Amino acid sequence: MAKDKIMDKSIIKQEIFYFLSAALCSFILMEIFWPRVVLAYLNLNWLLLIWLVSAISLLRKR
Amino acid sequence: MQNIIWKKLTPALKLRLIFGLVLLVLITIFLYFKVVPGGHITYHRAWPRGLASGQGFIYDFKPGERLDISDPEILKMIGDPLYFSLFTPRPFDRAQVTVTYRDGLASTTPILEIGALKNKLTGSYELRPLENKILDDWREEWTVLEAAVGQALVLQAEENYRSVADFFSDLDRGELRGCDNGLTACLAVYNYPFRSVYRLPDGEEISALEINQPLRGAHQFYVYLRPGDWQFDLTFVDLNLDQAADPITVSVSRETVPVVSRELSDKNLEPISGRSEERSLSLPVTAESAGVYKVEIKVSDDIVISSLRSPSDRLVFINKIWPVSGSGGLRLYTDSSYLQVKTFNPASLGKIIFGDRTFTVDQTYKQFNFLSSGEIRLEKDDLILETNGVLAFNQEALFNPSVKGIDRFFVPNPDLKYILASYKPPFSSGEWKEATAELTLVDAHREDGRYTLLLSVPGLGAETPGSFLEIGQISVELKGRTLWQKIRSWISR
Repeated sequence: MAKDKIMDKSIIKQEIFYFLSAALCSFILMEIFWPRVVLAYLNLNWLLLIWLVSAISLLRKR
Repeated sequence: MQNIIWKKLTPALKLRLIFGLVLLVLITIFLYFKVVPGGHITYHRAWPRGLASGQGFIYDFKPGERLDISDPEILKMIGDPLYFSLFTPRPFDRAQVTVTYRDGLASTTPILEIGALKNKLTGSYELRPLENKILDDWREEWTVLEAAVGQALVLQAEENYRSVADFFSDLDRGELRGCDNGLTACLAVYNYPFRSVYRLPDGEEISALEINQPLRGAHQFYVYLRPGDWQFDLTFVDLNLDQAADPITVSVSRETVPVVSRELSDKNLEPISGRSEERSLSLPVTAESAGVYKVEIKVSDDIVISSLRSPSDRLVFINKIWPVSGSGGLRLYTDSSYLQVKTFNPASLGKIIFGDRTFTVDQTYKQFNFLSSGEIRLEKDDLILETNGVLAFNQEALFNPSVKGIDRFFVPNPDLKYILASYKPPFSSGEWKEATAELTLVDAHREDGRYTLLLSVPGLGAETPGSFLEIGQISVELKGRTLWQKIRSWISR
């Protein structure tokens, strides 16, 4: 049971990382094609920081 | 069935699907705000900014020296004018700008205006009023006639009219009650496109005119033409002092209706070389009726108009002239009661005789305001002269088809009986005021998705120490074509 939970957590962390990576890539691509369309609403630096934290946490677990 | 498929998926796949859906929703939201399918959106910017993640749509307030930067959380304007950018993800047709502000302004700065950049080359802005304290004062003293539609505001000194319709009916005929000395003496306008009714007496001779006084940058002038086919010949010198190309556009209009326009492109083969290039342009004009025509020469400051040949000597420059021959001893005439003078050239510092008074221009990059009237005698030129009236090279040619406009130097003459304006006073709530202006963006300059806007308090600066305008919020409501209208226009092409 405890093993399952640990696995669930690591899956969630991994999926969050994938989600953040995909979001970051999509938003950067959108910014390349239509400048400021995302940046006007959302500071991508924050997203990059969250993505970095997620990546470190995933690597540390492994 | 769907339930069975969902149950068969691994937890990782389920999560991936949910996150994928969230990402899709986010991308759709961003695309929705990029396209603005309804053609209507509002952007805000408030000070202090509070919690905001994005860069926003209203930003880049400059130049910095016209802002009080002691508290970065507030926007305090201490110099005029202040420029800023409005980013829009797509073009729009109209903008309704609402500014909330706290006014610590001196009595010498009674006007607050906002505008959008129309022409990058000439730096011309179409300004709209936010507040005009001169008009607000007159509203208290005079009788107000206000039209329900169209925002036309008529102020009258005596109760000559009871309805706006009666007033406009008389105005269309060029006769207003109690105006014994003519319309131009008894009427003043503000932000109102008043049609010119100027007619030269039939017997008066009109001859050709050649101006060989070099003039730098964009200029516009009124010229009186009788019916016939005429031609304007202009020669230009491209100084090639800057990097950008310098196209030349000359256009003629009659009562805001375009008559003819011609453009000279610039291949820009020798930017910043300092080697002058001569270019010439001839503009044939067919005048269908006698009257005042407006000629606009749209060029950058890198272009000097070296000569101008006009079929009519009834020619007056509107608001601004920048003579640059370097020879000096120039005489000009104006109908304005003030003159604003600025120079960028230290060699041009010196004396100016305006009317019967002598003034000194002793600093470069500073705007001097001189109050007098009549003849202007320049010891040296390369001075930018600006007025709220017209300027001519000889006194006989001086005429002004426009009625007097209300600006910060406005002094009413004893004959003034009516003021016609398109103006709504601001709404006050305690020490904060809220004013709205409608801007046309169809022909506004848009570069990299940005419109350039200007906030102006004429006179605010070094002459008014301690004065300020604190902006609390700027809200821009934009209206343009809907997605459906855009698709229909593509289909109909």
